[in-house]
Amino acid sequence: MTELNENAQANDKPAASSGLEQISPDFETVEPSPSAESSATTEEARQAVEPDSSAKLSPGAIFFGLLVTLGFVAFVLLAKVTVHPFDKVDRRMKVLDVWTRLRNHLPEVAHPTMLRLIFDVSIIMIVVGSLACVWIALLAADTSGHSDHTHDAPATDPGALQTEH
Amino acid sequence: VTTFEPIAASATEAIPQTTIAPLGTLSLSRVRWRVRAVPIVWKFFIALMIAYLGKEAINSVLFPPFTGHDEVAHYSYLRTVATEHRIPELGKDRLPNSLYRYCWYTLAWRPCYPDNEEYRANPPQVAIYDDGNVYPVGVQYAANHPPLYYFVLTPAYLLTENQSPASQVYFLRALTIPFGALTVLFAFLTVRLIFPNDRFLSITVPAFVAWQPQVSYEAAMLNNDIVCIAFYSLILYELVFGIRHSFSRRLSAAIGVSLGLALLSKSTATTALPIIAVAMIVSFGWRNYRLWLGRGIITAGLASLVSAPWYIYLYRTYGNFSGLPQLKELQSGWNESGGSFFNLLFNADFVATRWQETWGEFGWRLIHINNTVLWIILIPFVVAVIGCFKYLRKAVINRELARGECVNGSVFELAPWQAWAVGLMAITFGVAYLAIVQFGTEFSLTQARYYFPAINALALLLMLGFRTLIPDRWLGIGQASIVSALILLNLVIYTVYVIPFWHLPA
Repeated sequence: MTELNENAQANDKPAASSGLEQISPDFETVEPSPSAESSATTEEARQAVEPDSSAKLSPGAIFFGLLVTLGFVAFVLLAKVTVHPFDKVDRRMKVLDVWTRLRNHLPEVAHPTMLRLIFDVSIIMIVVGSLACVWIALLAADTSGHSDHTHDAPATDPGALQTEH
Repeated sequence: VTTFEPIAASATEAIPQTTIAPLGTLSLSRVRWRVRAVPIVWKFFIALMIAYLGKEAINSVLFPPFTGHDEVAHYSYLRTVATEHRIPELGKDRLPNSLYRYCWYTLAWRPCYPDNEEYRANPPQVAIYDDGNVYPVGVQYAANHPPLYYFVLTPAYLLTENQSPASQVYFLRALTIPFGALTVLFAFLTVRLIFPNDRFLSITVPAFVAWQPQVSYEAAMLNNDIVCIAFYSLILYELVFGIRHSFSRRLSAAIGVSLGLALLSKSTATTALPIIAVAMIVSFGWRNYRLWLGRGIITAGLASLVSAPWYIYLYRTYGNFSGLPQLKELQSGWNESGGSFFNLLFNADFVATRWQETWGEFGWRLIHINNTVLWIILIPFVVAVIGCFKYLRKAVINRELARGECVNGSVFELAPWQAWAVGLMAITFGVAYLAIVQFGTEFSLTQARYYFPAINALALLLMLGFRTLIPDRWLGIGQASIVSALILLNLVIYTVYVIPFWHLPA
């Protein structure tokens, strides 16, 4: 009970720089306090409703994103690479031709049209998903890192697993 | 475990009413707001999942049937379970003669002449090895694997029984993909638990797991590995949850069930035992032995309960709890010990081979990735490891922070629970790697994929290294660069090596 009270107080205290020290092996069992949980939801709410706070791309980020996107597209459509069907066997081929060859040699395990449709959808998912990943990664530039040293309570809900002691 | 729902709910409260459409109407602005309300790291995760599922669908048809790791043996196991309602036995069961045409993709079914009709009609049962002795060949060598994966796939096997084995393999591969997706999900959730406000890690860690070529290859083949990897990832997530919020009885029970299921998937999961023990002891403190012992008993009890039927079966069948002595006997014609533990641990060839297997050597070590590419991959890997050491110097522990608390936005000022969670990741990877070294002392076929259950731990450590080295103002470009590099790596490996090997005439 004492431990819980101490930790409830700790949630309300600002960080003290004097408290910084090297890793210690033992720390005590505590339960997240209600105040901590409410702070958590507030923090997540702030992040959730302010996605645009970092969603403005800098000119540098836009340039990088365009460079990567056009680079990928150019690589797939135009680039020739040395492919290795077997060890010590080299051949120059266009990237697009390699993938087209795969598309034309799909296994005969289903109706060819259906299989080709699944293949095409999968390729679209890869291309769209990958480019989305790159642009979202640029959008998610986290400028808040290390900036404020305020205490942050658990940002995720404790969930169903954690209830009892 | 709900991080998504509460966020949306709490966000709703924070939005001024004027921006929300009237209740019951599904206006475009409402949908747009709903989408915008999704945290950006979740948006990234959804995009990653779309790309991942597309990639896995391609993976499952790209590789010819039975060319995945031991697919012939795993298919035969599944067939025995589905049609004979029993588990195959080492030393008694053989691989079906009809699968001799895939003899190149089995362990030592020699002589291997898959195009010879006489051989196909009457496959070899024994062979004379280099030592002059006669050994059985074409035996079922995967029979000591636990049965959960095969039980789960049995309905799918029966559903497709009228198809050819090759067609069945494609279908069964597709059913393995969700386990890969779960592994990526647990990577994301684990990093969100340890560093809830760090976008760099939330983006790069799951991206690394999703685009790691061999782990995703595992998730698109007929093999029990990825099931074990998924359960192991769940256990890691639960352990971090326990370190953060304390190990309640319910959580301890959940870990026990997860461990039991992991043990029923693959025996590699035994490496989770010391990790669970360490997590519980450091969480409660060494002196509070009643607490960690009590929770440990709950976990161990449930894990034993879930996995007991399998271990009882093993003991009754083989007289031991692994079947490994019998497997060693089966492989005695060609198996060689790799040497002593420390010889292997510091053996450069052993390390180099594991490195090759981590990134290439698709399908029975047939597709070799050029050394130049392997060196190019090694450079950022070494940089990340250097970053990890720098992180050790830079990170500080703020002992004023209680369990569950963390410093907003910093990965360098840690609460004690965070330090232990990161430490647990290092221990997890260390144990997993040492386990394959130990296995190599007995079996020449130890492989990098046996440490893949710790892939989420490795991903977190490596990305923490990059996070340390990349200046704050470059984090956005940095995370986009890492994601781009992983995508490019996959594109190159598949375009230059994998597709040409299987689909271009020599």
